[in-house]
Amino acid sequence: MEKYDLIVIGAGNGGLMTACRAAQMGLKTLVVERHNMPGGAATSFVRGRFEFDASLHEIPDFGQGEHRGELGRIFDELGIKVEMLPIKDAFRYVVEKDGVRSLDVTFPHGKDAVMKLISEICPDDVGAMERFFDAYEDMHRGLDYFGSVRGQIDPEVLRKEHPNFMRIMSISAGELFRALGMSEKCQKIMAAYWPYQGTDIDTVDASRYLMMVYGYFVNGAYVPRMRSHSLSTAIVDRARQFGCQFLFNTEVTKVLTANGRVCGVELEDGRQFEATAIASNAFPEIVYSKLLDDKSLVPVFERKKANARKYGFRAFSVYLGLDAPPEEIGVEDYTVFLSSSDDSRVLCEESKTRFGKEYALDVCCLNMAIPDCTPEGTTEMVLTISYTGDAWADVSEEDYVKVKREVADELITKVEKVMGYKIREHIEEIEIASPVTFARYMFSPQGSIYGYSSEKWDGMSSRLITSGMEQTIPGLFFVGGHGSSLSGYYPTYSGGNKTAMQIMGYVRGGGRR
Amino acid sequence: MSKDYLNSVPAERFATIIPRRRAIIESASAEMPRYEYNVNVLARDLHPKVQHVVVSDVKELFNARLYTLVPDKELGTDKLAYFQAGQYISLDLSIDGSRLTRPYSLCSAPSTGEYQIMVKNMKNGFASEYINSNFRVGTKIDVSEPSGFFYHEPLRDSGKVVGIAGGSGIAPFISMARAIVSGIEDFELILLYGSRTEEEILFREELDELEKKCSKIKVIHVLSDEEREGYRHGFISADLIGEFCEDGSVFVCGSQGMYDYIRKETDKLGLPIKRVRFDAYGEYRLGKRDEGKVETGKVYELTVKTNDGLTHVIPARSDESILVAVERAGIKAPSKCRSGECGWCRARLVSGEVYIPEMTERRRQYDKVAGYIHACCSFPLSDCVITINCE
Repeated sequence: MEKYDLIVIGAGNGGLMTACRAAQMGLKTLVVERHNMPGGAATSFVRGRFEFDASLHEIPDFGQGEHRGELGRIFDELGIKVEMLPIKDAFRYVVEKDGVRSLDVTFPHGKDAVMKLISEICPDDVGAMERFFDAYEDMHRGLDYFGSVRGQIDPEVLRKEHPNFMRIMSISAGELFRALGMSEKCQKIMAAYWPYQGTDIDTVDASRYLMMVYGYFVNGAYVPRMRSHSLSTAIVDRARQFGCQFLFNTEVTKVLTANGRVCGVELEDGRQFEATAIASNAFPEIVYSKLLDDKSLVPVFERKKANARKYGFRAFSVYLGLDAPPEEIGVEDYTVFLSSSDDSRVLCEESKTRFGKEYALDVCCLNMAIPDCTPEGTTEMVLTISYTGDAWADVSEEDYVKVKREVADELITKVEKVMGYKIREHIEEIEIASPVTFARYMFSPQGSIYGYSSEKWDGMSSRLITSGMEQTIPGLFFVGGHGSSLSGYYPTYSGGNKTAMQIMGYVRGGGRR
Repeated sequence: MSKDYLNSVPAERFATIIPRRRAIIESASAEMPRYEYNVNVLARDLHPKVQHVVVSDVKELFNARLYTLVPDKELGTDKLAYFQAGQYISLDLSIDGSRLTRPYSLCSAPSTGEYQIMVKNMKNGFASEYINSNFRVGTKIDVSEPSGFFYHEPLRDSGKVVGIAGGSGIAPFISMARAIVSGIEDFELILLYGSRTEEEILFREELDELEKKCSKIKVIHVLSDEEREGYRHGFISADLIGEFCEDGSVFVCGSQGMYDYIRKETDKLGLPIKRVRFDAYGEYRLGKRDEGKVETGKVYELTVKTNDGLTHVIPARSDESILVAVERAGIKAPSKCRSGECGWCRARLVSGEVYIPEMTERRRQYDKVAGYIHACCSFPLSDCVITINCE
């Protein structure tokens, strides 16, 4: 039987980065993916003259030059080369209800530009925004300390050196805004990014939110020239150069255990491979309840944790290939957050249904970052809404396409009406992805694309602080949106990278933690 | 040193993070967690990895056979996946040591719970000849999920469709017409159906009936080799299309030669790309447009690495796709549309050169740079090494 140091189940962002880093460090690594393509959500598809990104809007923390971000540095270290292009502005945020526009502001990238904008639109908040950036620095120092002692913190040092880190880690983003003394208007604007975290601003951790917003504002955001598929494929090809092996179109049907540890996998064709460690890009409940050969090994705490958790966002996207140039469509922005309300709690609540009275829509036009991403005289655009509930649970096989069309129709109508875009008459290609589509390709429960919801008790702070304490079956590691770094491109890549280090320790230690 | 800007938040709250997390987890159920939900089941029902079917009926048509396929419950397929009128299924075949696939448009309406496919008797049609001489009631086959993008999409297409069919290219339109009559689809379908002679018209009676039953369906027969009263004569020209098209969408299904011709005709009408949709080509055959691109009569060495860990060294003819070479060698390679559009046969070209006809070039941008090919429409120009992901 072939023996590996590490077998990775699933070639999503987390799995790929874990595999690439592990192979680079010399671990004999195998990746098994049931789809015929790598990437999970990080993929693209072609319809007619257009190639659409399935999920990626932009990646923070890539950076360039002096603003090279952590993710950019990881790619550099591993020698993964992908052409990335900067996006000019962070976002345009439009709030409009019943024809009344209450907010329309475009946020730039770059700290100075952000501060200049704040001084213009919320002059009383300049101090609060400066404190916001200070908070990031304090948090970062705390996290560095936390990482340097591998979670074995000295309470005295923490209290003396990192009191603000302790405060930030224990509150929500909304609480942070208020504690910094932001005006209501500034709080609302700063909350615009909430859909990227999947929970309302008073639920998502201040730590996670700070990290994301700082990444966007300071390091800017980037998109790969050739869609996220280029990221996934480049990581696969690089990992292969490090000796990593890949099996696509292949399903792991069993996770094998011996002496209370994981020891290998069985594939659908009956082949078995031995492994010292297994990194699962598949959700814990899939490993525990479906794949594991001895289910009695799942610690009670892990079972309870899986049951206590809620799923993160489930997405609905309309991919549009339009036969007119952006100026004819009327598009001027790369990202528009389009909402009927500026209250993320209301929007989160309403996002439990397929398309409610209140909505938060994300409009993304790739031509605004890469003008030649489609043939001359055409535009591609993706409209996305996200669900905080299992909104598609009641749809039947027969009604499915019809329901998909109805929701897509609502989205197009809304965007045309509020933004004044001319979409409908120019649709040359259209594809619609629902939570069912994401479930089809990613096999995630309910089609979640954001792993587990960032609840107050289960946000970045609590997952990070407890990441070394909550032990599952020895040798088993989880990577991806459901892992300790939460969801998104940057978190899953950097989480996979970190997990590879832990796996290295486990394997080199002879299978002990 | 830290500044005092967060003093309203007690630092002691940090100590509550772990206890709060533990309390919530401890209060949850200790059952094995659920991992599959309605949405996951629906995804699987709509897109099964494989469907085991059995032939329940065979009908003779002119120079073609119509097969009805029902779920093979014995092998674990309880029901067939729902589809959109115009889509196809891919059949898994094993012929004389070759493992191959063939796509066939579904003729049935989506609601019947069974699939119908029509297989034309083709001269030198490797698969069609095999199917029509071997398939009978009771034959068991594995087929793919319903696939393809040749369906009416009201958000994109006009409410009026001019369907252009040549010969057996009528198949997807039969499905659409049946779906319109049964109320599953709602659009006006004007069918310009080209046949050589009157007796070669497929589904003649049913088309008459569908037209009678439903005012949304209209059929105009065009005969190329015969002049008869009540029929249009000649080819489906720009003039004829223009007569019915107005602001409608044009859907085309037929042979590759017909596609080349119709494309020129619709260009004459100045129809934008969005208003003319072609069904997948089916097996791409090198022709005039590829002259000078490949050498004829050459046989190269193709090294194929499959994901069962094996390496096969096989011959590959210069006038056949890499996929065909692999199938001839008895390797079960993944493929569905065989026209370049579905990407199921995506393979890594480790070394060697291939020719990819422009019409079938539907790869992702990065795949072109990174050396990935769609094996179904890549023709070898040298010895090649590829890796493929067998299912």
